[in-house]
Amino acid sequence: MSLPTLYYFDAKGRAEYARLLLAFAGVDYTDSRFPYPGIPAEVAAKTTFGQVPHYTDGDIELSQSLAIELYLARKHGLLGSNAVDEAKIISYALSTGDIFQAFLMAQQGGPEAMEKYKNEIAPRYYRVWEKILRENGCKHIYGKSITYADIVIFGSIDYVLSMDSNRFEKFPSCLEFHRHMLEVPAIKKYLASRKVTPF
Amino acid sequence: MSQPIFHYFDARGRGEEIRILLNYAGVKYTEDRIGPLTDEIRSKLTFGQLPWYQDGSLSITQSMAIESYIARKYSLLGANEEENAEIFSYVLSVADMLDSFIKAFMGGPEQKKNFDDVVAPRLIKAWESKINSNGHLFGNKISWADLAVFNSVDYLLWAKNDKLFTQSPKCLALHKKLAESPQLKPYLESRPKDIKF
Repeated sequence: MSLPTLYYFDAKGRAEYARLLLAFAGVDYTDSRFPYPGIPAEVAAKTTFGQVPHYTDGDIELSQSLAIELYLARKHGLLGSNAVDEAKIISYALSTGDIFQAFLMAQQGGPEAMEKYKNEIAPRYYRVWEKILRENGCKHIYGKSITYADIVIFGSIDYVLSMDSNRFEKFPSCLEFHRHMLEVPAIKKYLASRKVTPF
Repeated sequence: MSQPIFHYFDARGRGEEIRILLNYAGVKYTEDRIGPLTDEIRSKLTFGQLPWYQDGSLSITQSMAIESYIARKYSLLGANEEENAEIFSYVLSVADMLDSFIKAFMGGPEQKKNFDDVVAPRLIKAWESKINSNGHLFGNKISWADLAVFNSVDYLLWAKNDKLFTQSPKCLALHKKLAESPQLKPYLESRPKDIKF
């Protein structure tokens, strides 16, 4: 039986949350990477919409980063204990997607748009995380154990810090949360061996 | 026990699919169509955004979180969690279509060309080839994926993009079947006609 495989560019991009989830869950998998922006024909053929990331294990062929993340989160018990928990966790997790979308749009908008993203748009979300994390002991965005939302919010903060270590100056609870997550053994282990890529 | 409440702008946008899911599932809910967002409303929203859904003790934003909750609660999913994940991937492709359409609408010729020539044909082709002999994307009943594709086709036809579907009879047939279904027809006939996006 072959290992599960994640197919993506040699980058963090839209696959890194899936990699963090797989690492946290202790799943042995093949991290199949190829140079951006070309998708090898045999990989494109497996995907549903001609795009990556794409994930395969013995039971599934799955495209769309969020679908992959939710599948892994569900499989590994990271969505809470009931329908309300799950809805809240997914809702918090999705805020990272909004921030990423805003970042992509700002990239296309030029320096002024980028400044607005850094100084106004992203902080709107960070302020919300800051308040909730502070009220929850800086350990979890929801509940009392690590959830899908914690992993992707950690991933989002981590990504930004890797580009600019000062961006969370005004958000000490976010930084405390990030530090706490860094110490989770499975995450610590993954990050120690993670390939450094420009994005 | 009070009814669920769905809050969104008086528009289709990212709210219409939720309305379609609720109406298809026969959920009795309160529709709160909001004008421009006031600070008062914004203060009730986790990230200051709509749509917002309340159901008993649950109060959440983020359209995909809301849809996932509704789809699961009202049995609009598939045969197993693998199929559910695949269903979600198709729902997300519908969101990608909408995003690309908005970019094309707000952008220049390059974005329009990208939508018309690249994104839309690729996605519509994927949906068309997934629709099975039962006329569904998955199995033998209507799922969240069918309702999402319906929403996209419906939106694009409303936005006068009929030309995108000349090679996609199955997508159009799915749209027609759902548009004329007893579950959706009354809602579609009664929803506001004069909305802008």
